[in-house]
Amino acid sequence: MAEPVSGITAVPDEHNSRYFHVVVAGPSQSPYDGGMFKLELFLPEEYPMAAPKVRFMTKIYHPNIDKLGRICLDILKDKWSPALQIRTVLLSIQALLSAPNPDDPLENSVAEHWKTNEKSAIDQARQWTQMYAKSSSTNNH
Amino acid sequence: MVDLAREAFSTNNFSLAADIYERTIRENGPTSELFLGLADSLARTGLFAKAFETYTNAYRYGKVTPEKLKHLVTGLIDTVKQDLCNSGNTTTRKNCMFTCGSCRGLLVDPVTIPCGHSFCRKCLERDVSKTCEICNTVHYRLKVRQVKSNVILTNLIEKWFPNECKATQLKKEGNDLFAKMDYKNAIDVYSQAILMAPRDHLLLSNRCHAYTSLDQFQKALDDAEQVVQLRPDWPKGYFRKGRALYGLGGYEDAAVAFLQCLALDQKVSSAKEYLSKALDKILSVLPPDDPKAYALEQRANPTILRQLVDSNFSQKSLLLPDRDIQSTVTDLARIVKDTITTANSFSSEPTPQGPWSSGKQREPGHKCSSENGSGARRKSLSESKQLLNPPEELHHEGVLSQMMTKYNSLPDCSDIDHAELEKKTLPRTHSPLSRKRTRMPSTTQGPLSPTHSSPNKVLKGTTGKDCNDTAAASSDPMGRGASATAATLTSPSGPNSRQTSGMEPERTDIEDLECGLCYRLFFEPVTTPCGHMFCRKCLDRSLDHTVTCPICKGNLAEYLAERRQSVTDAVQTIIEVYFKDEYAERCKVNDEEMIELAKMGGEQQSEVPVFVCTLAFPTIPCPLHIFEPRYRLMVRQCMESGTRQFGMCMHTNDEDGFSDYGVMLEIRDVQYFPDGRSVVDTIGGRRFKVLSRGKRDGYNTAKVEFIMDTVVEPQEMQTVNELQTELHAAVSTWLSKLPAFDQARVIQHFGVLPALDMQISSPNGPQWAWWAVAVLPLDQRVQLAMLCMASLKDRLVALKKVLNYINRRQRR
Repeated sequence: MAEPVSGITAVPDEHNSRYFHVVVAGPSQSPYDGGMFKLELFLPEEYPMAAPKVRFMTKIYHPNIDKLGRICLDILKDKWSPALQIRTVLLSIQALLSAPNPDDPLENSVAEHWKTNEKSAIDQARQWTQMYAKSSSTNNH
Repeated sequence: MVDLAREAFSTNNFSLAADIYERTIRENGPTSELFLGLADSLARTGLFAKAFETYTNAYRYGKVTPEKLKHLVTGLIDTVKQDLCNSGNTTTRKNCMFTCGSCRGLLVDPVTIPCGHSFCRKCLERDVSKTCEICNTVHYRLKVRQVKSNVILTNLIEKWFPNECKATQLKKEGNDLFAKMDYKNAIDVYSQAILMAPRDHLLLSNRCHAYTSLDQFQKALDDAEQVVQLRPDWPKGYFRKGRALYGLGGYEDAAVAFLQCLALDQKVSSAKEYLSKALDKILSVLPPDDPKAYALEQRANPTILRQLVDSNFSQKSLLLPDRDIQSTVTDLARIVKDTITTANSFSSEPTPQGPWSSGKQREPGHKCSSENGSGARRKSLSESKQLLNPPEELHHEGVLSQMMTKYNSLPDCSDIDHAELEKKTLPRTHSPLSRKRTRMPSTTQGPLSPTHSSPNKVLKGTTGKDCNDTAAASSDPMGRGASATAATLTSPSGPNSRQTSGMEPERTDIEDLECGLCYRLFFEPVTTPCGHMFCRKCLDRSLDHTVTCPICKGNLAEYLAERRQSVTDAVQTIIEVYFKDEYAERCKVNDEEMIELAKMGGEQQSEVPVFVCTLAFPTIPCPLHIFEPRYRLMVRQCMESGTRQFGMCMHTNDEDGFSDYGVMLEIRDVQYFPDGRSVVDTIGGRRFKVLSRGKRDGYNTAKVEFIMDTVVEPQEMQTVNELQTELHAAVSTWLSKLPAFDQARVIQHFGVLPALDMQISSPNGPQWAWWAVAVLPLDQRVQLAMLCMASLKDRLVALKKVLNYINRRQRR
């Protein structure tokens, strides 16, 4: 780990070198601040010609992330380029936490909440962060 | 008579023309025009000694303008060209690294054109012929404006040649001033730039031009001499020298210089023009104390004439007959050959630490060697030899320390402690390990004054080798990328991290030459029209999926349609020269990959790539439309590795995905569509049984065992052949009963029914039987069952059953 990206770790699975255990810290000045979000990242056979498959394992209240943790992010779909790295993908995901985009929703109810009452939605997201994204990081304290 | 001579001349029958002119002069008496015609004819036959004599006669009898000397010029150039061809020393050029193939200067705004050669954008825009000056490829459709600059080359040059880049900026300023005819200030600016990049021949040449424009010919000549010495292979340098000499009144030397220029590039029209003018001066204007008057009196006396001409040539050996015609031409040939040899053997590459960088290493007294042209030539030849040596030799001892002084400037603050430490352990000596790659990023380069290139600190000693090793170890093939990608996730990339890890120049340097797709050192680097570089194979693979640049998403449809493959010469050479060990390692990895691919299907039991699509049969053609990315890759790998074959299996709905039996397809031809799809013409080969299934690079593979028919026992031979005869006839009947349209389609697709084969020579059995299995309207399961049978007799029996069934149905 010569130059770790701050707030992001990715450790390959000991049994499957294509599978990574990822932890992303919620960005400050976002409702996810203070949370440690677990993700799984899998490199398909076609990688790097096909995008890695990334999914949130920690529950998160976000208009572009659905109940199953699937992420709506263009570079993971049609905007993928083989020149992108895992590192850039994870940074983009972290950025998505800072800038939710309710106009391109994956989880409609959350997006609707965001659009009708942003403050309440953000509160909800903060609550979820407290509820789901804190416990796993106890060993960090 | 004269008409006759003219006609002979115009039909290139020069010796006949000369004969007629001579006779006419004898019979009708001399005139300037006749002498000129005779001289032209002589010149074109290559008899220069006699031609010169005759030209002087022409001058004596009348007014001759320089334009009239064009045949002499043509003749001289022809001789020079001939000499070029004879010596076999055609203008093959060394591979360029940082230099433009056109102006031979450091690349400014480098553009890589489809043939893989790189030029300054300006140089390309100037050349309307669209012909690559290095490989002579004509790029009809090239639109220079639409081609973006080569990003890697631009970055490398900015980083490795910071001073020269600044000098280039100044050159532009100077050129602007020059264009405004403000020669004086232009000279000032050029001079500043020359202080920074004393070995930049373009700067010197431009200053020379400015001096010439101010009629300061001696200064111009000094610059021109340097230009010629720096770049003996650059035609324009000789032209500049010739112009200066011409201005100084040294017409003979000027003529030699112009001829040297034309020997390297016969298209330079201004050199032709000035060669005529110089020759005109030589032949017409004679000083008053010259033996001309005497000569004129003694018209008939050739010795006097010879003296006359001799006295006008300081370069006696060149143009005039002091001995005999033969030796004159030989001398001329020698000078030109010298020029060519020097030019060809001259490696015009600047090295980042080398001759371009430090003005101090200019040998004393190398300036102003104008008094002796051949001496200068000899010197520049030896210099060029020195430059030709591989970099190891170049970077020893003195040169090494010089380059150290240049590139070891202050690193950023975070490194100071480390640097201090090293300074103590390695006080001003250099471990051989540090060899050449001691460049620091240009961001760490201080202000650009010549004095700056004095040693500040001696950086980096023993760390070099270690870095080397890690760089090599981190190379991992793309696609099995777990470890490689893990490494990239954590490894430094981007300019910021580079500064923090600034103590590892070797590592950062090699990163400059890494493919953005596989994170390895470029292998067969290609450049896109958007100026980005990738390994050829990496880009091909990316193009299988999407026709855009992986870095900028620029459209690469044209690149793909033209099926460009040309390696970017400059970067390839840089890698070979500066990253020799890494390149060797990279070649090894590539070879291993190719060997692995080439092994496919080679032995009785082996791993083969599998195309999952349909059933194929031995000896039966199987045309395929390839459009899926993974199969594009598969076909390409089959072709590149030379195996030219892959397995074909039927699709199944179970978890295996494809049938347990299949047939090898041998590729006979591949036709590509502009969008990368292709039609592959294949023919069935060996049958195989799948032992285990695997994957590679996204397509299926299988470990297989090849199936061969058991040899027919002699006692069964008769039964088998009787069956064959009967069934062959039955198939033939079946075919004849088909509607004409269907028959035609069968024949178009599968060919006519093959003849009987009583010898049964092939391990696949007779060809006609496979033809029947492929053509008859059978369920795929039946076909597959027949494919697996290793007994010809069983197969024929099965065929008989289905034929009976089909015939019954056909009768109804």
